Amino acid sequence: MIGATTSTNTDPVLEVEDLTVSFPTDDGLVEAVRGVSWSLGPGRVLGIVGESGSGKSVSANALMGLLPKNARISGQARFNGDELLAMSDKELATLRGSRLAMIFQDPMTSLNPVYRIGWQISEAIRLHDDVTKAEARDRSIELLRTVGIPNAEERVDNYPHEFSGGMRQRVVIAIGMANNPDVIIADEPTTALDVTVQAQVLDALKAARDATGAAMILITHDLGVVAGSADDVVVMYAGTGVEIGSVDDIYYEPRHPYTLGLLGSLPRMDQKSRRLTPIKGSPPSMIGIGVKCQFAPRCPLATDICWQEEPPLYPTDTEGHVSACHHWESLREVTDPSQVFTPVEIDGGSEDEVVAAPDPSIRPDDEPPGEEASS
Amino acid sequence: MTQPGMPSDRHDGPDTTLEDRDAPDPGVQPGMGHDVAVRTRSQRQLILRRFLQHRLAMVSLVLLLLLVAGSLIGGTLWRYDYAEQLPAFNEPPTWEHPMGIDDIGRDLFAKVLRGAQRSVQVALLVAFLSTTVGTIVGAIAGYYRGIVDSILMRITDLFLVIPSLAVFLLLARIVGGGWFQLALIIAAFFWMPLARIVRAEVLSLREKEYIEAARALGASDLRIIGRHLLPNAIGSIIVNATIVVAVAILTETALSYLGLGIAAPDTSLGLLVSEGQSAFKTRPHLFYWPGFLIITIALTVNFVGDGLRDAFDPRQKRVRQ
Amino acid sequence: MLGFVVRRLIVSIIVLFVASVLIYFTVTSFGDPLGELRSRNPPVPEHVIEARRVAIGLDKPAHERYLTWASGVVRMDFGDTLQGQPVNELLWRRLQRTMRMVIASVVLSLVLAVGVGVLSATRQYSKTDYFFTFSGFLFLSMPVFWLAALLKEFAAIRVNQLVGRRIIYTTGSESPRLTGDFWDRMANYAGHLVLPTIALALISYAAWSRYQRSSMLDVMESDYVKLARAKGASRKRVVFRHGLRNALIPLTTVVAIDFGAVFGGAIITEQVFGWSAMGNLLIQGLRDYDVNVVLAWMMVTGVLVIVFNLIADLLYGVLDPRIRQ
Repeated sequence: MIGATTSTNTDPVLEVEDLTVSFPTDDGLVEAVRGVSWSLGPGRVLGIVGESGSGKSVSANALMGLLPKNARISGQARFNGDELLAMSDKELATLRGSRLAMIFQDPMTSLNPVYRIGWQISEAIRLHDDVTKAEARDRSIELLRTVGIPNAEERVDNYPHEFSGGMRQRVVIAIGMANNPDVIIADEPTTALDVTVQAQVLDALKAARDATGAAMILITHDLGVVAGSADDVVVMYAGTGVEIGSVDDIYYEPRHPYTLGLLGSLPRMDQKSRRLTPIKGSPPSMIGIGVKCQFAPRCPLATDICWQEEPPLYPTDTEGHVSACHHWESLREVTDPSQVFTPVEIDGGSEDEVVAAPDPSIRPDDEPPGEEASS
Repeated sequence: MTQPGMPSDRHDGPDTTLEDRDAPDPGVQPGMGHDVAVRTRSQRQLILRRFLQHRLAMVSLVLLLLLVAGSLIGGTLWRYDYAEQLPAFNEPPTWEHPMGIDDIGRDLFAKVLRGAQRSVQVALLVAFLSTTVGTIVGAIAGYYRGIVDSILMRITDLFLVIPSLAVFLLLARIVGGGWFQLALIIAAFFWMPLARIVRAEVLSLREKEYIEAARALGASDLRIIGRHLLPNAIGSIIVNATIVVAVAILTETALSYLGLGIAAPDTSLGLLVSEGQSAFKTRPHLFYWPGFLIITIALTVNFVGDGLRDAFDPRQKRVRQ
Repeated sequence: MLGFVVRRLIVSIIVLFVASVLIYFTVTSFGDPLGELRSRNPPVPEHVIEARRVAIGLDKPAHERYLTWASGVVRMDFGDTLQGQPVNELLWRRLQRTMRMVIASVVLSLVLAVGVGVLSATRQYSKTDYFFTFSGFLFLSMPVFWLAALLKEFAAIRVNQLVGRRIIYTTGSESPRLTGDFWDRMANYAGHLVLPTIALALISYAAWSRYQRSSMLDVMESDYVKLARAKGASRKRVVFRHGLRNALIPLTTVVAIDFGAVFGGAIITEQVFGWSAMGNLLIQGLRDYDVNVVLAWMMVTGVLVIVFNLIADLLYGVLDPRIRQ
């Protein structure tokens, strides 16, 4: 079994193997997810970290069956032993909202503006459970209390526009936990919110986990959020997982230059003042991606093999900790990101400037210097 | 829009969301290290390319240009003049007279050509006048606000309450049956929706930082409006102009059909349909052909407008199934 | 929100008043009701023309005549026609007939527009979608008078032949000297209503359905629709309870704006089908330069448009809770 260890003896509640998602578009085939594998144990929290375009959201939506019809999905995704990707929409619909719940990024648009929130929570309950309107309403009030909405009995009759962003997100969490799901997928739940509100939402997520015993997938680009909440982490880049391990492994013993770079780009208040080490360049276009380590164009450690072979997930020193880097061993000696990445100059620019992402439809061939055009 | 009303700008709601178009293209990347050739495409080329790829719009454009050209000069090329008194009366269609001769001795094909010419002239003139006036007034209202803005809003409110066709009928009755006057009347109301659209665009753009920057550099108001604000609105303006052509021809023909538009001795497609309807039993082609002409012109204009709208603002990538 | 509606109402009334002034002075300044008399051959004696002039009231200055008219309108009296007949008498029966057509066509249009809009949006890019989009464009480009005339000359005869008796009528709003019970009368009205309503409805449906499709597509892309699916709601429930429910909101505004155009279109269909209703009244009034008739038409129609807009505003408030504060 590839990926994070489960500390309990029970089988994983969600197991993803070589999940691949691509979309045909007018500009070509977009390979959004190119084979990612991980597993989620019951009650555990898995953080999926990556930049925009890394495929983290798409993979989550694929599991829920919420991708557009033209999406081509392959691979396996076993939920309590059942293969999700083989299910029809009707079958998935019975799981959605009851056993598998999802929370979206933007709370301002996640709730239907014309219905009261009590109605929207009750709908989630009554879609899967045969209860009366009154019973559903009582349960809704209870759920609102759990996620920390004050004055729940009155606010249950309010409309979404009468709530702030943070409170709306908590309502969405209440909807997600309504039927005691086995897995809650939170897709960037705090991205659209202020930092102070983020803490409230993360608290609400914890309360939801405690109340339901659900496992959680926490998708984010914010390493700080993952550090506080996750047990295990999957780092995604260019549609695939590049490093997987426990949260301690990833943060204290990173074995992939991308992870290292991410950590180095993070301003820290708990360390002596140091220069940030951004990763130069930007993620590749997902159309016509070639065969190589996709991080090579931005990697200070890249050598010839990196430009020729896509690295598999090598097992590293700790069990369950894997890294897709040909040179992962050389990262054993690295203690600080500035040993690999160039820190930012304060006065003037450095020779290699960070460039803005160009229009993906007019992408240059990213060949290494001196090589013939191939692929 | 429901014709024969004014082209309604509110109908453009979800279809046209124009974003800021002044963002410069990245062009060649600095410091990439290796030799790359990145094709720079200006905004204009992108829009043109998208339009040319829209097959329906291209076919419609060709057809439209043929129809318009044919209408405008067809009458002079045809061997008979529409007012020419012929020695025969009430003849059925022959090769010589493809649509026959009416009961006062005129070649009907010539009349149809003449009607087409007049209707197309009115539509084009209306589009030109209303677009020009609408753009100017809208730009001034949006940029300077103040009294021009207030007046514009009040006048447009006025015409929400009284059906525009009724006003056209009234003015047409007073002004008489000349095509030029009719075009003026129609244009006098069709400029308003475009003015509101341009006003809205200008309002939303004038607060942007690059406008402030231009002002700080000493650019005059005229230059700001002309070089920075209006080019961003050009998409809306062009699309609206095509809609105006379609609605104008429908409006003029409706007025003429009712007898209060272009009247004898001149003719219009609308008048021809009315005459054709009276002669439906004997000469149905006189009812059908002018009608088909109106429909085809309006339809092709609408398709071209739709293609333009897509070209200026592609809403979603067409995904293949 | 109520404040907003009331303010709009007051503004509309002021606008209507201003319109009445403008129209009154336009008609009286440029339109000479005696023009026809003056141009007759052999020429009518001067004293006859003068007598007529006084009889109509043209000897008084324009603003005085306007005030007389306005004071009458406030009492719901629209004055007399040039022939001396009270306008009110003419007005009410004709108004009923026009309203039948307008309401029937708006209802039909709405049903078609929503149905086609939803169908097109849920089957985007399918053959159904292309068919409706194309036919929508076609009807948008079609002159009302042509379609109405076509239906009149063509459809009526065919259908009547098919059925074997006359169920669709092409002239007038009801058969003259109509007798029979309520249902007979309703059937007769309906028979006369069918074709004009279809003609009028098809044109406005085309615009509204394109708008509805677009609005529906927007809504179906939204996060809350996705959340509804993530809750496990069936496709049907998502489309109607979540999608359509929201997509209807902008349609209210669009339809409200188009009311005026529907009345305009009604003028045309009434002419084609020979109805003795409001449209005919206006055209006759314009031909005669009969200012009382023209103004009565304008005022009544204006009030109706305002009323419909008011209903639309209130409906919007019902549909969209965000507006209610």
